Amino acid sequence: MTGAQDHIPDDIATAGEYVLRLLSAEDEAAFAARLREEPDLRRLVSEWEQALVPLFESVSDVVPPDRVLSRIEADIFKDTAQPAKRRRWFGLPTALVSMAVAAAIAAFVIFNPVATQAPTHRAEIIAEDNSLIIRAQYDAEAGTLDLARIAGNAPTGRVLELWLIEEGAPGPVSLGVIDDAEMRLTVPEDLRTALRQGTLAVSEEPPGGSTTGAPTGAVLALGPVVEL
Amino acid sequence: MGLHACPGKAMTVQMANRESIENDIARMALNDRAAFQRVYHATSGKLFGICLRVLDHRAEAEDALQETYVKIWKNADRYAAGGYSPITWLATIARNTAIDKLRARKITSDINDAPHLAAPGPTPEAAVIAASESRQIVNCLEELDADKAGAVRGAYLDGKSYQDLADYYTVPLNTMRTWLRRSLIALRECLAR
Repeated sequence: MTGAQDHIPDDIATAGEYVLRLLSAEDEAAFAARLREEPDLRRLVSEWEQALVPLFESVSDVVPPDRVLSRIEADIFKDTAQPAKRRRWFGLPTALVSMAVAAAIAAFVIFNPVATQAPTHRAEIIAEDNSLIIRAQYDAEAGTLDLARIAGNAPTGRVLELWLIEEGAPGPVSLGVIDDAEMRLTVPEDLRTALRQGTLAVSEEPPGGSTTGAPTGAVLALGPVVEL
Repeated sequence: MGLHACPGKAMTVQMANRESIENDIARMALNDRAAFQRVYHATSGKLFGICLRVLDHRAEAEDALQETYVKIWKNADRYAAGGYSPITWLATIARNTAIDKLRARKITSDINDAPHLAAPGPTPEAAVIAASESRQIVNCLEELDADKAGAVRGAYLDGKSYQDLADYYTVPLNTMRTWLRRSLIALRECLAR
């Protein structure tokens, strides 16, 4: 855990109250709003979460009845006919999800308070050995590409760069450096048509990305763009 | 945050549990149903226990558990990017879902349910927690007055509110707030040592 001096005592106590769910509804909402803007506060909340979890050792396990699993699967595994199900992606929390649950979920990633995206295309950019998995969702109307790094990382001292490979084009075109676990980038207009039928690739590059306009490092992962 | 020290073979099994759960959560983000089922079977006993402890009502706890795993499935991609221990993520979602239900419960609801049966002895899920998390919190709580430690546990494990705690310890609400805030600061100082 980071040193006790890193945060003001007031925040230490309030973050603890937030995790313990002791705050009033208003104070909880206000704190959740602060969490969206303050990464240090998110870290403090995560530290409280992790510090307290071992208390659950004293809670006895109870095997739930089979009907619970049946109900869950009926909910999440419907639409077997669809090749890829539409999932909530950077969406605002629904009415059923409290601010605390939404913030608890969002606190584990860097939160970008952006408008809901309605993806039309997706790509799973996966290394052959699954050591790197980046999920991409593209909204053709808005021209925005949302990336989430599911597994793996850039090699030490290198960065990951995203490329668009278009059939018949002379070479891959850079879409930029992937500098966050979750990020949204706006695809240049002249690439949007090509993106919808292209392949996305990720290479490892020197910090700042390739300076030649083409990948200079190894191409680690590929994923074709498919329509949802 | 270090791993709990356990001798030899037992540690290997527990480490494998943690890694396989992490891998399965990553696979869930890619719609892998078998991965979801493995995570469910490995963790649902603990998460149901957490829901029952907060809600003390079978049907409500079942609903909370159902909502919890639906959220886990839908947000599996968010877990991996955060890099936290799987049981922290899973248990936190379960606890918060159960507390949401507790707070939404109407005061006049009549609770007449058979008490839940406790599973005897340590279980694989308990082992997963023991191996993967530092248990400093237990030692640090022991440094507090028994009442203050009890209040922290009551809030965390039972979902008690400030009013519940003030009533239980027969102190004014603001006193309980002061106690608890001071205790949290003391706990963090202890945890940071």
